[in-house]
Amino acid sequence: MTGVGTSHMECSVEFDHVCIEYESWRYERMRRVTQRIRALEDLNLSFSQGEIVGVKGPNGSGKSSMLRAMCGVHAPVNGNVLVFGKPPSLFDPKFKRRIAYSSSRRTSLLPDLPLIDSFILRRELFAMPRSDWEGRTHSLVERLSLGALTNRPPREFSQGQRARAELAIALLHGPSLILLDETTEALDLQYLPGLLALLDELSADGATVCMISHRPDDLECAHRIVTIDRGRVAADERIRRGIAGS
Amino acid sequence: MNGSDAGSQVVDRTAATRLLRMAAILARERITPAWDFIMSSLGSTVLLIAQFAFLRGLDPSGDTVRYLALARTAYAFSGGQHLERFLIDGYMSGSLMMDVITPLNPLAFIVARSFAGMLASAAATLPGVLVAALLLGGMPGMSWPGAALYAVSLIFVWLASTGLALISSSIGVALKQGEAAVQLRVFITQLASGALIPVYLYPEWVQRVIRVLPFVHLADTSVAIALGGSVSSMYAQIIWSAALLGIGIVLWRRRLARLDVYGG
Repeated sequence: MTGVGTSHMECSVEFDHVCIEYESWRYERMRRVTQRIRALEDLNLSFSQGEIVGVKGPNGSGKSSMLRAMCGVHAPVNGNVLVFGKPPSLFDPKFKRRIAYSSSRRTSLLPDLPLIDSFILRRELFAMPRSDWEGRTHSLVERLSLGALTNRPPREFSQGQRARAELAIALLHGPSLILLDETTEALDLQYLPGLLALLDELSADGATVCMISHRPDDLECAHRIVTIDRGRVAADERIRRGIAGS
Repeated sequence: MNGSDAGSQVVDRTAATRLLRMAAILARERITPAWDFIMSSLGSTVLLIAQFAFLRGLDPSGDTVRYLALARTAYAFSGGQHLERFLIDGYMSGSLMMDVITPLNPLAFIVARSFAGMLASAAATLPGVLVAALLLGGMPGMSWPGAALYAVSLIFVWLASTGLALISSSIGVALKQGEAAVQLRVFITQLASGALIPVYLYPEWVQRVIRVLPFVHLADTSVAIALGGSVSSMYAQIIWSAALLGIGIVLWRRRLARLDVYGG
């Protein structure tokens, strides 16, 4: 679907001894008290092109921080994160054109305008050619059963409808790295097979998918399941073959 | 002009068109649902009528009301608190990340949002100013050059207020006191811009202080430009708007480079 053909395996993402910290602070008696909270602790992990990686782990284990580090939002205090061979940067438009990030807690939708306006805003943000945008919008609306929702504002959507709309918006520009932070958890089982088939197709076209979920059903399409605990890789299981070259 | 110059001009024009299209969509979102917008506009009209009536009582000649009509119109182009609240809430909740990870320069997107906020604020306030001015005899008479210069000065009102919003929101998130920063900025700009109380009604020494502060360029300077019809009054406004915008952009660039997003 993305048209990103893959001829050989290459490393899409690499975490090399990565530590990520949050700085938390407050004022006490006019003095600033700083506390450092470590989210990722010496994380070593790599994802290949075309791989679907399911990520699970307890709350607060560092899963979301790992995804945001791939976007360039969190800079490591130790180690290196490489995405497509380079450190991710929030000020590099070429890099940001290749990634998609969707989260159950943060929205890319315009809540009060018809859904189609969110697609139009996305087209302008990514400077997509109109014909390309029309084709992809049509395809995603059909694949994610959004046809009846395009003229309704997302404020009126159910959680599941909103999740499908968020996914469509995230995938609209044809990203090579798709990061889904619990986006699929609100989907009911009726729509899940369709979404997993879509992710499978994108992966076959060369896109790398990294999805966090607490629901085993959501991770059925994954080639690998990585378990994160206390900021480290607690388990890394290959559960199915099928990536080109593996 | 060589080929690459021509190419970059085409790219710049395309980027500017895209920003305007985005601002139009975001402005439409600001005035939706329509009834919410209409009713809030009605609320601000009531306050404007009360303010105009009060000042009409203080100065029956109508000069103060005419000043106020121009000052409130200029202040409406500052965009209100929309940008500040968006940046502070977005930074604190992490939702700003969704803007930042798009390929558009995050600061360009912020400026597009500010422009949208300005359009919505102007649309909400101008009918009220017009109604209050018509009811209480505050329709200002302007020469054509004065009107043209006034229209140009509104652009600098918007730029200066965007800079101020970037600075105050940056301080708000740095101190984790977002609402305090917004309210302090509103308090100062309302009192020191001329939008609430005409600057010339203050005691002499207060006027001297206010006139060296940047806030006066959000309303009072535009009124002077409109009534005086002189371009020289605009120089200070241009310099201040460039300085505020420059400082605001530097502060937010630093803030975006270390965006902290907590939780899943």
